[in-house]
Amino acid sequence: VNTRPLIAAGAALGLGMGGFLDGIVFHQIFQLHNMLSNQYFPDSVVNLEINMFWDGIFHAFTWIVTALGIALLWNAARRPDVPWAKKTFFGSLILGWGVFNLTEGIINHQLLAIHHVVERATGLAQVFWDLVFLASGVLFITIGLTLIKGDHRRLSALTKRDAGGKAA
Amino acid sequence: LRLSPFLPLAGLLLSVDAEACPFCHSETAEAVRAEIFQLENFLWIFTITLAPFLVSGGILFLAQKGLGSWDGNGKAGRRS
Repeated sequence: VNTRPLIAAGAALGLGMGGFLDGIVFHQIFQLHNMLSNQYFPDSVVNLEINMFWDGIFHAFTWIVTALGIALLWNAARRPDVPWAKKTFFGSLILGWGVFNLTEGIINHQLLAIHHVVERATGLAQVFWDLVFLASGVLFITIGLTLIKGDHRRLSALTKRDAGGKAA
Repeated sequence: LRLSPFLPLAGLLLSVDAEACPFCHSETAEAVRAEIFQLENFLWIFTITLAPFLVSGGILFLAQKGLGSWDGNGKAGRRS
């Protein structure tokens, strides 16, 4: 039994869905920030269109990662040694989402400052929301790993029991 | 023969002179393109946009390599 292909698929899908959630909810619905909103503040049509273009490129990468996740899941589903374990899969989704939030937060918000989570916020409020985003990444990674680990123990016990039954 | 009701619309659009297209040739569109398609700028922002996906993917890939599989004995690193 091998859970690795399922974890890889779940993590890739979580990465993609985390990206889509950011793009759809934060960029488009609530318009809290755009890809380059700290460099081209969206207060003119030109700046809005530049941001829209780069939001589109961001969504294109997100789409590619999600498609890769579907391919990996398809591959995992066809393998007899991969258990169809719900908790492992959902844990991996949350893990992928967390890794995305953490890396996106560190690279785009902290290191390069191309945008902040709430662009219109100023001073400490802006820092606060950036830190909340980073903390969400750490929290999701912890939850994801906990779920995967817990399920790993359950699967381990089940296989031991099955192996014991066959031996008897 | 049934014609699509959109045919007259398509005809109308095709008959528009490309130079007069307000989306391609407005001042705004030209300003946007001039800003986006500066090669150096474009490559840099393209890399920045791609970076979180590459780094995240790399982290997950390396984590996967280090995870090891589960062999039924609770030990990592072996496959059954």
